[in-house]
Amino acid sequence: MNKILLICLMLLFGFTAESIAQERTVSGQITDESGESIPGVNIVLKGTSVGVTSDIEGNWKLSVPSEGGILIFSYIGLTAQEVEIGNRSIINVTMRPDVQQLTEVVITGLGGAVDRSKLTTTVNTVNSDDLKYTPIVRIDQLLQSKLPNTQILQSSGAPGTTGVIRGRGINSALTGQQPVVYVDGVRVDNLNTQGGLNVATGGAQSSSLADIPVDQIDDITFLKGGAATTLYGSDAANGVLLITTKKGEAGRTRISYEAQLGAINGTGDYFVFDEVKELGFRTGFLNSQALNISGGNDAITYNFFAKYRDDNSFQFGQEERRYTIGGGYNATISKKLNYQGSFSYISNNYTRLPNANSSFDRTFGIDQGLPAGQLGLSTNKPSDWTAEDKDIVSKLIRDVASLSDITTQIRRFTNSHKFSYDVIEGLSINAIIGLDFRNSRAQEIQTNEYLVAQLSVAPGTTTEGSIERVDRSFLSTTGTISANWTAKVGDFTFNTVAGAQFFRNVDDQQEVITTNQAETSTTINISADQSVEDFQSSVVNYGYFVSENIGWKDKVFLDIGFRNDFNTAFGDDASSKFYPKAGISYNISEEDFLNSSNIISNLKVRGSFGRAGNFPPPYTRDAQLNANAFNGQLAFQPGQVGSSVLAPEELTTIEGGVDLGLLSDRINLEVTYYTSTTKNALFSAPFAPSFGSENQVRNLGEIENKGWEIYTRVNIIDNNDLKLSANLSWNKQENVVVSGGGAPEFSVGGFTFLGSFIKEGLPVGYFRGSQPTFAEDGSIASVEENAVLGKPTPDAFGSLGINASWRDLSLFVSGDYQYGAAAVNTDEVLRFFRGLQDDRIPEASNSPAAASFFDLAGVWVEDTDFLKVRNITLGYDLRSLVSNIGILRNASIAFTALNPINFHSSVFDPEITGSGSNNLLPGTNTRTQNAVTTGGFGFGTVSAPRMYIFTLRLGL
Amino acid sequence: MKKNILIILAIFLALSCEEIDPTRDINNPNLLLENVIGSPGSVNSWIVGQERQMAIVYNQVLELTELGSDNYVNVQTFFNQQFDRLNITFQDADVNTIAFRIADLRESGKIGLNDVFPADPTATPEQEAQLQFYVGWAKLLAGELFVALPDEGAGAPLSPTENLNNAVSDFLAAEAIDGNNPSYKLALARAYHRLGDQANAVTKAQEAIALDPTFTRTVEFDGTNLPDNDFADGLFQRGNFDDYQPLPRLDFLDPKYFVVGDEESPVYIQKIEEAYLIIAEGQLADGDLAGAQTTMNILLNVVAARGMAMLDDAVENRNERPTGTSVTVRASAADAFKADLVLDRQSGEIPVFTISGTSVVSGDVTALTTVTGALELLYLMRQEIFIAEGRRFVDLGIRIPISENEMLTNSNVTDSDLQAFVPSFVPTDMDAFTFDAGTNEVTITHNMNAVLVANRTDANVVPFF
Repeated sequence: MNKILLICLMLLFGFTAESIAQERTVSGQITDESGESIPGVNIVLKGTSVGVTSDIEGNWKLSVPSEGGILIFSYIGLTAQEVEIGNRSIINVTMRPDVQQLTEVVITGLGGAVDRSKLTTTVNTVNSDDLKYTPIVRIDQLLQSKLPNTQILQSSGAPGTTGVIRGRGINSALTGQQPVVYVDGVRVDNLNTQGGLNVATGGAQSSSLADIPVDQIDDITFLKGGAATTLYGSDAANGVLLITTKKGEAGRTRISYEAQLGAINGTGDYFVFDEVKELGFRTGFLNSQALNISGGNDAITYNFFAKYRDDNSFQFGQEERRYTIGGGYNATISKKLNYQGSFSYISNNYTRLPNANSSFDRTFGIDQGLPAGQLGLSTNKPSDWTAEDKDIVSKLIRDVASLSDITTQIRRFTNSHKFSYDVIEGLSINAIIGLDFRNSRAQEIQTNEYLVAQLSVAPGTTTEGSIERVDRSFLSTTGTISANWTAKVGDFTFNTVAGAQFFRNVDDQQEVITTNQAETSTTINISADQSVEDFQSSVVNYGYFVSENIGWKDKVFLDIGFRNDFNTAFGDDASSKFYPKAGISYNISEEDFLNSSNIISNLKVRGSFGRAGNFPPPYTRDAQLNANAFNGQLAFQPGQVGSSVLAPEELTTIEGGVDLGLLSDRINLEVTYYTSTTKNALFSAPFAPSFGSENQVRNLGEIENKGWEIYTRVNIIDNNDLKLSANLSWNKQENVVVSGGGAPEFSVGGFTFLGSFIKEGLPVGYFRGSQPTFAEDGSIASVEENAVLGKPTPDAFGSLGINASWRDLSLFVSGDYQYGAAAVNTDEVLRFFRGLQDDRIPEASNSPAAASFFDLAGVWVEDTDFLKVRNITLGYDLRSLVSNIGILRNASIAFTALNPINFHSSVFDPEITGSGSNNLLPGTNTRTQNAVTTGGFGFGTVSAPRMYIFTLRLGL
Repeated sequence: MKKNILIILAIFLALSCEEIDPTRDINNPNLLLENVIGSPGSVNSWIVGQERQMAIVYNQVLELTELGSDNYVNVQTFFNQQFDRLNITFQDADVNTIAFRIADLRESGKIGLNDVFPADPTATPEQEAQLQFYVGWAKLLAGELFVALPDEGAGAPLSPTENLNNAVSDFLAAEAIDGNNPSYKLALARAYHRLGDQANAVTKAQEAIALDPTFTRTVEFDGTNLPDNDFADGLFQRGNFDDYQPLPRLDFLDPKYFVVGDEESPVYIQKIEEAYLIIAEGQLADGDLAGAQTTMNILLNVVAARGMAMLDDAVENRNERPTGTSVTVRASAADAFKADLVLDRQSGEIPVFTISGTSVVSGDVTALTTVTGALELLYLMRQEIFIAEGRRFVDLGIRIPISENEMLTNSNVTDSDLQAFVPSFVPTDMDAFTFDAGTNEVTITHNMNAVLVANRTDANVVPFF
């Protein structure tokens, strides 16, 4: 025994001695572009099986032959590198993302993570690198100009207010167009219109999109309505936005700190009178501080953050303050069981000014003409104001701004828990449960002093003080369970998903209005009278789904599936809803005849058919009475007549397209043609007035959207030091109401003299009003009543961007454009009333005395073509400078200009809609919450400001 | 054993699933009609609902009909301007809304009468009469305001006479149940007057006076729970917007409606003054000038007894229009200037006539020498007493067409129903006047009361002539 042991030891030492004689050791550290170490990188000596993996600090050490040798560094998602060892003993490597590989795996939500090559639809993704230098405030603004096929418009520069989101046209004449949003698999509140109850702040409505947790985004996927969202069923016609948050990476504890300081400058580009900016704006200050800690080991990783942000605005009396804490974590509980969790808590506090539909709007009435006589001004024309006049107006602005008291407070808690269990190789079961709880309080306090200051009541008035307060509590619970099975049989691959999902939304709102509120008091108790109202809305949607993706030789993929859905808002006699999908893709570039092509690196044709729905608003199926408090008594009146067969509107999308990559994917092109038809479109259309019945939501109409989506990305220069790429998208679309279902046309917004209507044969929300023709002498020769004056949706829109970097310096530019849309210059109508009008109308008709503004309506509809540069960012990575300074690992600085440049055809900002998502016509449509928003009435609000932001990031 | 365990587990699982059923408590919190029929007190709540609907109807009717008369002009508002210029078309959304509001009142009243009333154990005959009244009132408004209007869903359009006759039937039914309510008498007097049925109109007017010589009936608003008085917004509350501006000779009657705290001005839809106006018009039609003078003098006393309130109206702005007590106004170039018709709103409180007011004094009545002169003065009183109550539009003989939405979904509608009616002698610039800022003199272009008298034999105006 001892002998044997001795021999073995000798042999071992002998071999070792030989190796020492013939080999040497090299070592190093592997980091990513930001300087973070990367554990788990494979390092292999080329041509051998000799290799190691990097440790948790990214360090590695390997014995290599004494001369020559090449090391291969590889890691999934990063570009593999071959490095000649030469005579070095230390080799530090920076690994960069493999763009081709990164885009290959796409998170499709309920459909699981799928290789992009297998997709039969287009899916847009944005990852954390794309957002590296974007000041992150809210999801819709963050995505503006980043989603190539989706248009996002900022309806106002007021903080936290609703925007307008349009993908493949407006597919509903009833409900809002915002996509549903899932954060880590949990459906979150996405209300982007005014609520059921609202504080009347003149159209400045808070949007729930404004406080969706976005600070720790790892990845965003946008699925457009149709085949891509079929598995989401009755909730997904507008598309699904999937947000995945960071869960941390194994390795040492990383602490990063980010500070953003900026100047906020209101833009005067869109005002007729410079005095709006001169007297009403100031330079605001942005202060944002964020701290992030992440790390973990092989079993548990974590990522926690906290952030404070204050934007005191470019206008007096306006502010946005936000506190956020949150985190994400991943735990490998056993070989088979994995757990991921995330949470965030956001506290948002807005102070706003009165908006468009107020006596003094966001321009303080300057741009529409102030009442000169009442204020003691020499004229109501701001450009002719004397210094004394300006003093009067300045005082008025400061009085109104300091005395107005419009606030919104939001407290939002979101969390998600995901369990994954690998049953056997290829089969896993996933379960997600989570909730989003959002509590908001909107409040306006009007003191007598304020009402006197803004000329609403006579000086000395003491009885007109009031508080209006709306509390909203929203709870959404989501549960999903699904099984994913992947298999390969011969040339075939199978990717099967089957599961069930439910979400439950409970929305409770209460409004209190007080009258004769005692001055300076802020509790509703100190008032002569209070009235209360509530709004309740709850809905549950649940269904099961199956999806199958079959591949053949990695060339041809067939994707089929369905969801069967139930919903508590469906009519009693409406059955469950079946949503099918089918698609096929053919990766021609995998064929031998193209495989060796130097020019075509990727060629894929794809086509799909799919259906998704919009469920009807809760309770609209029921025949009910309107019961209202009226002078202290209960008043019963007939309400909606109900519909027992009420069903969701069904959006069926057929699309086909080509993905092309040229010159090793230096040039990428995606071309898609689609038609999306909404059948059983929900219309809140009127009956004949002689019935005396209020509008009833019915499955009446049909709406069609069709168009082209073209997106191209070109890597113009790509070498180690210098990189330059550009992207451009162009989305052509046509929107038409194919059928009105026999109902008369009806209004979805606007004013009596010029409204936004739904009519068979015309686009959704087309502008209807009188179109005058002028005689030679300038008088009105004739008037075409109820003429088609334009449409709020563009013929085409798109985004563009440039990414450039030279060594550690990077430049990022993004923007977007539209043409072929129109909007109403409502401010000009007000100027017309007040003698400040421009000369668009011939002189003989250019006054209220000479012509009715009803007859003139058409002259105020303007083309709203625009090109806006949204973001220019210059970033500099200081890592090489700081790497030896104490504990600093990395650092970067950036300078960002938001909304710096714009070109526009209209006199006013083509994006803004003074009423936000407000339906301006009371009584014509009893719905407010989640009502369709077509936009296009620009007045009385301000545009998103220019911001100049300096960012500092430090990493420990 | 294993089997039993499995069964128990399955039962537990099923029960648990029931407990966590996500669709639990997803109920409509609102009220369903079937839950109301038969419940005690339901008729009372239904009548409150009808009163609320009356407020909604008047919010729509007043804004438009006052613009469509010489009483008010739309200076700078988003209220309808086509009515102001008498360009009233069937495609006008407001035309549709008026018809809808009136139909809603009628149909709600019918449901109240046919479904709610019979099932409520606490219902009283007076409540039945009230419900009948609302149905009749809807038909009265249809007959007064519209060229033609159906009285049932997608029904055949009825002529004004048919609608007014149907209104009479409903009011008679109400009167038959509750004969001591002056409201039904006065409603009948009004309907008969418009029908030109002088004898019945005068009789019912006299019966109404006999029952209550100070009778009024109002539509109330709810400043906190809504609807509030929309027309008060146009007249008063929008402050610097100054939407509705009165004809200068009616300036002293403005604002009839205003808002203090949550106190909303009511709209007087019935006033005993109307009975006197009808009787006096009947007397003049009969050539009884002296009798008419007596009636008009009594009427002046009734109006004077209504009193007035004091209001700080400094927030209202006349902009470039005449203002101040030094302004004098004449009804047309052929009339004499009158003082005290235009107020100074910037120097303390002004008197406002919340029920009735008039510039006519007893001396004006005594000085009358002709029937036509008396008729013009009577129509001036009518105009002033009824200002902002939606009556002038009807007195001018203007009628609203059937709306486009009705036309598109009701095959009974004919082309003639789609044309508004404006008498040929009613000019579109009724609100026009000239103002000499130097002398502070206002000359109104058209004295519409004189125009009415000149055309008194036209079938559409001055019904008793």
